[in-house]
Amino acid sequence: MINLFYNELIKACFKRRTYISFILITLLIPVVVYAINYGAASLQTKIYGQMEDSFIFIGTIINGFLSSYLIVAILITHMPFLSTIIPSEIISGEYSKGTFRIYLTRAISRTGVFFAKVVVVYLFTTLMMFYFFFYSLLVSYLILGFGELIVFHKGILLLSEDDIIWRFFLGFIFSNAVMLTISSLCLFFSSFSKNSVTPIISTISIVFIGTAISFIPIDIFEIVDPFLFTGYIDVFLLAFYDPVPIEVFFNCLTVCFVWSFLFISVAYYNFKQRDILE
Amino acid sequence: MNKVLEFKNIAKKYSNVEALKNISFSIPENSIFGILGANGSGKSTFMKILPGLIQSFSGSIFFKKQLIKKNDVLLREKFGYLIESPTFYEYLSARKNLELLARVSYVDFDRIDYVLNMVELSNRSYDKVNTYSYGMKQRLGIAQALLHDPEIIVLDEPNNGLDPNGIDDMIRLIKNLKINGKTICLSTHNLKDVEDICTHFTVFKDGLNSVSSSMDEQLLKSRRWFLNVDDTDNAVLKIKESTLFDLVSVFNKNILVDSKAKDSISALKNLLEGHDIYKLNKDSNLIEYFKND
Repeated sequence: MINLFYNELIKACFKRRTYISFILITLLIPVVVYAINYGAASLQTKIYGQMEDSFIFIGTIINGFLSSYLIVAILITHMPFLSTIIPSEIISGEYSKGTFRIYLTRAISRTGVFFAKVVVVYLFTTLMMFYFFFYSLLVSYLILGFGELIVFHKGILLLSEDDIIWRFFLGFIFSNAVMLTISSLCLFFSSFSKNSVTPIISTISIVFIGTAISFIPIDIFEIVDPFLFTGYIDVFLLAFYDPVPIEVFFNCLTVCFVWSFLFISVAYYNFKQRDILE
Repeated sequence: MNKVLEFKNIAKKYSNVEALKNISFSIPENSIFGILGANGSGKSTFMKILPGLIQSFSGSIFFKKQLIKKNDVLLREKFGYLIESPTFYEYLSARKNLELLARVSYVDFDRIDYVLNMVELSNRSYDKVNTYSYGMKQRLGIAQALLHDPEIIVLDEPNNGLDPNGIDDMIRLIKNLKINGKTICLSTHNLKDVEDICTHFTVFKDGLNSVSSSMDEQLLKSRRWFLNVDDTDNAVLKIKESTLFDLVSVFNKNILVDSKAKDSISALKNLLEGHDIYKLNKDSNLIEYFKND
């Protein structure tokens, strides 16, 4: 199994597309942080709003934590797209290029090959999310420094400097669980597809539909939404509530686990049974 | 000769199409066994069953009298495959590709140099496969099939896409493998491939195998002769007038005849007395298996 995993890692690491998401994150985040720094005064005015009429604010609320919070909150909805890059191709790419005709004729089990691919997909998604969260923090800190974080939860909530890093870490864990589910969904499509575009389009379409369900205030959608993993894409924001809503995180983990298990199980069954004709 | 592989009642259906109906034959040990058939005869489907690429089929396969179960991965160590066109991870070098395969086959990496040397790709081993010609990829395909030193080598259309030099090299390589004790099973639609290198053959037609035989038996059975003589026109005239021979074809001064005589060689020599006979060979007449009923 270790050898199969190592092989899958080599296959992924030598592909250029593996690095697309990391390159995008690396380039985009400093630009956004510089933009926040440049427009700090105007952003601060917008956040304070009418409160400036009643209160006197000393110092600035624009700092690395706020910058990271805003970046993650805004870009997290785009991360599903980046988390499909590896899983979309990891099985379908081998079908379409015919490499399974060589690889699967060795004395290896399809079960081993499949789960080695799953581990690589999960590893890549986790690394990407970790990089996204903590690179944002690093770049924001280097440019803006740290301070107290102001967020909106039941009014304005000011979080002290030493009460923030763990919340980012908590947000990372649960956002990652959602992204792993999206990767599982993409892997599921990849096991059926003969090209790498169809899994991406199918996955993103489902994420769009699921997100739409979360935002449309119709009774039936509100009943269904807690059971959809797409309803938890912005679960990161909840890590900055006080107190942290543990039950929502628990629901998030349960829902993500059930959907991931379902996607991986069906993908595995299909991969194991499928005739390699290409 | 001991049977190394035996196929019994192999059948495979794709939705409404019966690709293989009832294939049964056996492959003798240390033979070069040719699976001959026209395009669409079921050869490629059959070749994918043995390595487990096709999972859903009926029938049984025996390796040295031991039933091969589906997903029997350990038994695959005894086989080396090159199925259809060679396909590799094009963004990796040939060596890296072989390393991936060596790692899962628990083969020492030193063996990579040996097989690359065998197929004369050592000097390009660090180049990415996407820079290789088709012939080089085909040779790399052979290298990966031999990497774990298998007992049986299964090659699907090994001469496809090769230039005449490449075909010669491939034939030499296959014959050397037999000399080294390997059993080779190859599929082809080319009669000449079978005539040149195979010791045994079977013919696939419409998903059935119509005949299985050794080439020696086939030559004995055949009554077709291949001739090359001086004054071809006159020789053809004599053959046409003869009641013992039927003219099959004349192409480029080569004459093909079917004999009804008991002692064909003597009868032919008598008939063509006065001609210089440059060539007189028995033809395997494999073409007869391709004719429509």
